[in-house]
Amino acid sequence: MISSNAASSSGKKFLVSLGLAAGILIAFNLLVQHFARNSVPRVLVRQLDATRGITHLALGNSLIAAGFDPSAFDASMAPRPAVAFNAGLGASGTVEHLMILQRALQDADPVKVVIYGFFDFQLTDPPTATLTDFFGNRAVAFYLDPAMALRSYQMSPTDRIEFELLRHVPMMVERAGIWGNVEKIRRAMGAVGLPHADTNRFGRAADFALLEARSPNDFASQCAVGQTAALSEPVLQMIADAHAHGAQVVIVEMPMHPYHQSHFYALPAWDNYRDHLNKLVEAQHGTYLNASDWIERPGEFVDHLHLTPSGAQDFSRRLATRIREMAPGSVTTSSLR
Amino acid sequence: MRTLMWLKQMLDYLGGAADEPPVDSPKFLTAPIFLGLWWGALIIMVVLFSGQTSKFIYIDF
Repeated sequence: MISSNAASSSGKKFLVSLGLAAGILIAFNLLVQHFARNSVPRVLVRQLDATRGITHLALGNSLIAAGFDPSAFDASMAPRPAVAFNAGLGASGTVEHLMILQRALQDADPVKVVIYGFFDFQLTDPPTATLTDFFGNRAVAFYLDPAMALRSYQMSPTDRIEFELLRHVPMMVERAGIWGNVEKIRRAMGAVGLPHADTNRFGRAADFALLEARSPNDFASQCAVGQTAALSEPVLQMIADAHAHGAQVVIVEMPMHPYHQSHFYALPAWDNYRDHLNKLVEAQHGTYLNASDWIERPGEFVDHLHLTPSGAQDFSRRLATRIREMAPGSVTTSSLR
Repeated sequence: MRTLMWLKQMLDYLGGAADEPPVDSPKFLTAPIFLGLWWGALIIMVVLFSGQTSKFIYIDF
């Protein structure tokens, strides 16, 4: 009898503890949800929804986010009226870009031109993902269009189940937002007494070299693989959706730092891969625009991949000039090379 | 030495490695309210410090 009472008392104590811990976690989740309302993807989507009459939509990852200047673009489109919008989202993939495009196409005013900026093998890379990939801006897949994420991403059955469950838990969906702030403090503390390291809005400049191929040989091998690949499903879907809404699609090989140019894009293997991409895009009635060598001064880049604001202005002005010259439906791929 | 042992036993208890706190420890440590708050806070701390495992770190979220 005594042991039964003790067990009952112990069980009650455990339930009290469990209830309190659960209460704390629920409160924490509500707090995270509140503070995450201004995360980069959520702000982007809100701005997209609030902007009326977008005529030119720039889509892509951080290369577009940093490299496309809507004001410079609009000014250079004159006298044609243009409302350009930079929907570039750093550290995002083609499926997220498709989600953002579909969101933009819901607007009553039709987008006239979709500008899609890409980096290296982004157009042909398959949309594979594991649950840990939905971190940071890619967490947008959890809430912008989870059904599309499950449809478009190649994931394991376990990851699919976990995705479906975790998308309801803010502290998991927005974990990068919390971690990002902790990481910034950690970096500041870690940098005490060390030489200054160049940073930009996306992180440490030197880190972005890690996104490049390890060597020209490695890059050439990737080109060889890419030459047999088709455009990935999300890219095909983006082109099809844009066309279905009467928009032209311009696929832009984004400006690259002279280092990237000389080490990778100067290779014959990249020429072959570029020709392959050109044909694939042309077959989808899109326009392929090679802008990789438009910005030649290293000073116009904040790292090997991203343009400075002045570099972005130069690129956007030049892009507008090219697009202004396009007569709807009459542009050939070769005319824009 | 005794203090060190006491500290170790306390950390073991707080970290969940031991079921009982060391002798002479404050009574509230065994209270269910404290345990609930403590473990809730620990879970939050784990989430706060769980970041990317990748070498490349992008932080503009």
